[in-house]
Amino acid sequence: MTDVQLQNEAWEDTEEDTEALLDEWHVKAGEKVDAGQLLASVIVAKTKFEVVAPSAGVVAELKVQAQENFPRGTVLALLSA
Amino acid sequence: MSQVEQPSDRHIVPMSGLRGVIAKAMATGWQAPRVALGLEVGMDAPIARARALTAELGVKISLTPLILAALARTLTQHPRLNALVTARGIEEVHAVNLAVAVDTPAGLVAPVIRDAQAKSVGALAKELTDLAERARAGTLPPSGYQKGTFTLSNLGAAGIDWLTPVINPPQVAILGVGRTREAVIVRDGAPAVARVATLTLVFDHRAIDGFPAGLFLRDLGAEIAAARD
Repeated sequence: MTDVQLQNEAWEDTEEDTEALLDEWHVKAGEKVDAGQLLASVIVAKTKFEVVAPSAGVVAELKVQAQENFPRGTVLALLSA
Repeated sequence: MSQVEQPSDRHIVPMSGLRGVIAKAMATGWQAPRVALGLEVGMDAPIARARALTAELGVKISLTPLILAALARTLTQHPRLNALVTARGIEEVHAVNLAVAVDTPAGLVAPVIRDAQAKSVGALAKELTDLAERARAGTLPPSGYQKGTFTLSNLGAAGIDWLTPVINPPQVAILGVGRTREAVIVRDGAPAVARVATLTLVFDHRAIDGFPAGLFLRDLGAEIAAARD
């Protein structure tokens, strides 16, 4: 299993209690994805980020629902090879 | 994925993305028991100062950086307005970090000029231009929107006389500035025409009372009208 997380640059120099918003999922659990494919749109403060698949695989589970907030270090989804 | 089905007789804009973020922040800010105070200030001196600075620096200096400089000076003298309401209490922050409301195609954002008390009008103007450009392009990092201690919303360009903006939580206060307009005022007992603008301070009454907030607005008005560097 591969963890999908929001890239570190999104958290750079942010306040400690900053939470990100998972604005939209572009894939569903069970879907096959390529490496680099867009998985989710996330907003931190007022900046948008795109989360892409770190490797090819199948989306095993979405761990954060759309329109939910999440803190630094959260696993957003799991990819199986 | 989350494409909304559109009925034939209207267009539905989902409350997600930046719109959703704005909506949540506004709803939070609206919960503060707030009071609005207004003051009309003379703008002849700041307009003259902005012109002189534009000539001196070779870049267009608008009234906004002059208002920011006046805000930074006045907030330093009134720490209760340069503050946040948090679970810990009222946090009076030493640095004056000014959030400035900027309209973008995606919606309202408020990038932050940090340590405004240590910056000249020219430096404030330059940083504001840079922050606004990056905010509009969506390339300003999240930290560029954080650590604000007070917010300025200048709607002068929209042509309105005054506004009562919503507090930018967890900040204690926000200043609204309307357009600069010609008005008949009384000077030395006789009517005269002067350029004026209306300032509106909206503050969280949990953190500060009306009289000290009024003194802040009075001092700010004097500071803006004096148009010092």
